[in-house]
Amino acid sequence: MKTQATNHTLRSPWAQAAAFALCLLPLAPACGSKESAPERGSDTSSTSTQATASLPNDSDAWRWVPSHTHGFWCAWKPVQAPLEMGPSFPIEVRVSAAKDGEPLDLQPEQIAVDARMPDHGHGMLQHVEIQKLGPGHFRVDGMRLHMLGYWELTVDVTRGAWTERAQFPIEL
Amino acid sequence: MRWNPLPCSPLRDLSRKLRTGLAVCALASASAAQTPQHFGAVLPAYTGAEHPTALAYDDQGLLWIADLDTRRILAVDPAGELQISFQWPKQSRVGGIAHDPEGKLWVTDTWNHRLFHVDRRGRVLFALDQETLLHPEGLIRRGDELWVADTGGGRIAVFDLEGKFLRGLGDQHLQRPRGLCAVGEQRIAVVDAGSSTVVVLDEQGALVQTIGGWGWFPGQFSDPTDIAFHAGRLYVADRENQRLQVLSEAGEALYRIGTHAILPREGDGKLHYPAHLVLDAAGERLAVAEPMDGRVQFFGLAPGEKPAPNPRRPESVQPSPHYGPRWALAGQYLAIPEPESHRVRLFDLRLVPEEDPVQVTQIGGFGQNLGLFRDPGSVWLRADPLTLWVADRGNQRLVEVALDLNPEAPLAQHLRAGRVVRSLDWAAWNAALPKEQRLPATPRVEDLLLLEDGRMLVLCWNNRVVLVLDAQAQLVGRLPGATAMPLFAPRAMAWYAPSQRLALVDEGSAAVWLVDLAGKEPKPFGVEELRRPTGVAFRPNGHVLVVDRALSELLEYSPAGELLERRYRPGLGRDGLYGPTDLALDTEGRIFVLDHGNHRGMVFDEKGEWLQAFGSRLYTRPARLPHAPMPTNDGDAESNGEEE
Repeated sequence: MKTQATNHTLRSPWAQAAAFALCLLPLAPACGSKESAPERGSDTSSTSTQATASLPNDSDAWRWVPSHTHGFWCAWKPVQAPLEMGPSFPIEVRVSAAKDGEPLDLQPEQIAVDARMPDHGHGMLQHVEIQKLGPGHFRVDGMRLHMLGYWELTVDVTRGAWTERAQFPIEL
Repeated sequence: MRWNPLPCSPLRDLSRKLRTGLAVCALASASAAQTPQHFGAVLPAYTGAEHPTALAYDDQGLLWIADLDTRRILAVDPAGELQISFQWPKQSRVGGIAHDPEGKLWVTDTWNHRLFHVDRRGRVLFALDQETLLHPEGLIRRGDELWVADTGGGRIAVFDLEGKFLRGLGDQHLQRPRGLCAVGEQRIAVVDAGSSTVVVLDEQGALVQTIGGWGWFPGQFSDPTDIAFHAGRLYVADRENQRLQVLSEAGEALYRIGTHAILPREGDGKLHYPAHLVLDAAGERLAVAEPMDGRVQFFGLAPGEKPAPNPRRPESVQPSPHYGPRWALAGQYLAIPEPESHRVRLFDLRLVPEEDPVQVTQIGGFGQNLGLFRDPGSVWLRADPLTLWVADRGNQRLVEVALDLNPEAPLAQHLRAGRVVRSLDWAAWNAALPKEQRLPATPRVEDLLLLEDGRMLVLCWNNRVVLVLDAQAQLVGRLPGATAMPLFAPRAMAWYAPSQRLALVDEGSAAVWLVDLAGKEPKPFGVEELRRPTGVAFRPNGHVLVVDRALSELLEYSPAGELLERRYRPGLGRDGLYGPTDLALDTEGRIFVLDHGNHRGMVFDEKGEWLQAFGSRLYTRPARLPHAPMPTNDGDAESNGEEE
């Protein structure tokens, strides 16, 4: 599994634009930018966000994490790898009661998938569509990471009045 | 006594007179030339109401004003002379007035969930019971029907003239409707503060058009609260954008009226939370109520299709945001919701009072997805493990956020520190309750707090109850229950663990209630001196501190309810507050007052002596440098109005 932004190609105009933006990054502090991503310090508690942020390059690899409340386990993988900045791409999501346990038989309206860049305070530019493939198994179309940097992919599961979240770090 | 921290200099006075004269000339010129006209002339304001909450013109050209703070309904003529005034009950907030052809008034009572028909002397001819409406606000008369913005119920309620409920409309399209107007014979336009849109419905309540959405660009709104229609144009009170917007009937943004007031009570066409508006019958005079500044401004017609830009007051000017109206303090952290951006900002207090609180992270932003907020009105913070709860009022959910911060680590920003853990959907929660326990409407949360045993207290403004929930959000109790504790507009709570007592502030009855969670022996105090209390906290010795938004004061009571001390006054200096809405104490007993109207937080030591002001530099400067001249937005300097 490769990591970090070296995985993406520069074929698309999006990627080329991002490469140009990367060249400008060293100038950002001089411009007074507050958006440069601080490293997550040693002050974090043990959470799923501490997992190594990585750009999946293997469409066969599921990466599992517990939800923040440990109410369910969740995994995702890209349908096709490697991911690129800019184009829309599909992913698959699995949800189960425990790691490698029984899948939770949920309906698509009980699942919400999103991605945000906390360092920049924004999310994706489009909504996703979720399709059920089987018990606890979903395909999510319309994911689009339009900027290089640190993203957080979130999967929210609603049961009754409660919605619980699982979260995956992505370094694009 | 009226407070004006900005005394009129001769130059400013001359400028004001010139502008008034020009406005009159402009009106005459426009009328003569029959040119396209817009509301660009600033006319003299009316300042005889301290907190105007509703407006209506009658057929005789009188402007009717409901004044919350003086408990009156009054009528003034176009010259600003008071013609009629009558008292209105103390425990009542008028949310809307409509004039009928018979010369009488229809009045909604937001706090009591009622509708009144009164004559011109204030005698009640008819009152609708409390079963049908939840926090009604704006209303209009259409033929033989009354159409009421049922704000808490999220719909338009239609009544006949005898008060019989006929039908409810628009509940599929409305979240928090606050004002409405007729658009021709067939349609109504409703301002929905919940979605920051104008929703156009037909007579059957079917959606015709939705205009706008949250934002600050032309045609977008932030907490729109009132609307009027005349001659093919819609006029919207765009409250948190501090402006009025004029739209075509089709929803095209035409122009704005007013720019953001920078200095307190600035006026003269600058607006500060414009909440209500009304046009006279001829469509030549536009009245705008600004409750926070205690004023009704008037705009007249001027030549041209839209106002000329003012280079000295660009339309995009955005002063620092207001804080609040609630905040929460735990350990060394202070969480502050920001109404303009819909974010919650977290500050580290370790350097106070020598230096300002330092923002270490922020959560949210406007939106419906989990992790975003729409009107994060109230927050609660737990120190260990550091956890934030946000009452996301617009999305009707409670959000739990883990904060990955180490209080001993060097100060730094950690923008990834907030992790949404889970959320509770109030509509689903209420629907799942047994029928006998179900609340009349989906809870709209005004305040919340977490007890040491994991129970959560949730104060709902629309249902006027305090819910007691266990850690899994199971309903285990509620106040007032069967107790004799009438609540009209409950605003805030505080918990005192040693005596297991809850302090509950009711703005409507202008009282603080002390009660245990069983609801036994509720005791009110402060009734004599409080006017609009909105925040409460306990000192370690059990004394109760209360901030009053109308008085701009901090009051201290003994546990027995005896008034011990009154501190501060309206103003900008070190002993000045302007519409404070909340307060909190840290572990050292320091008092943090959320000085909402002054865009700042104030820190006092346990004796009440000033330590620190933080927030907007413009607004903290008079406290930091009490003898320095205060810069104005026009670039000159004048006294800050404080006694030196």
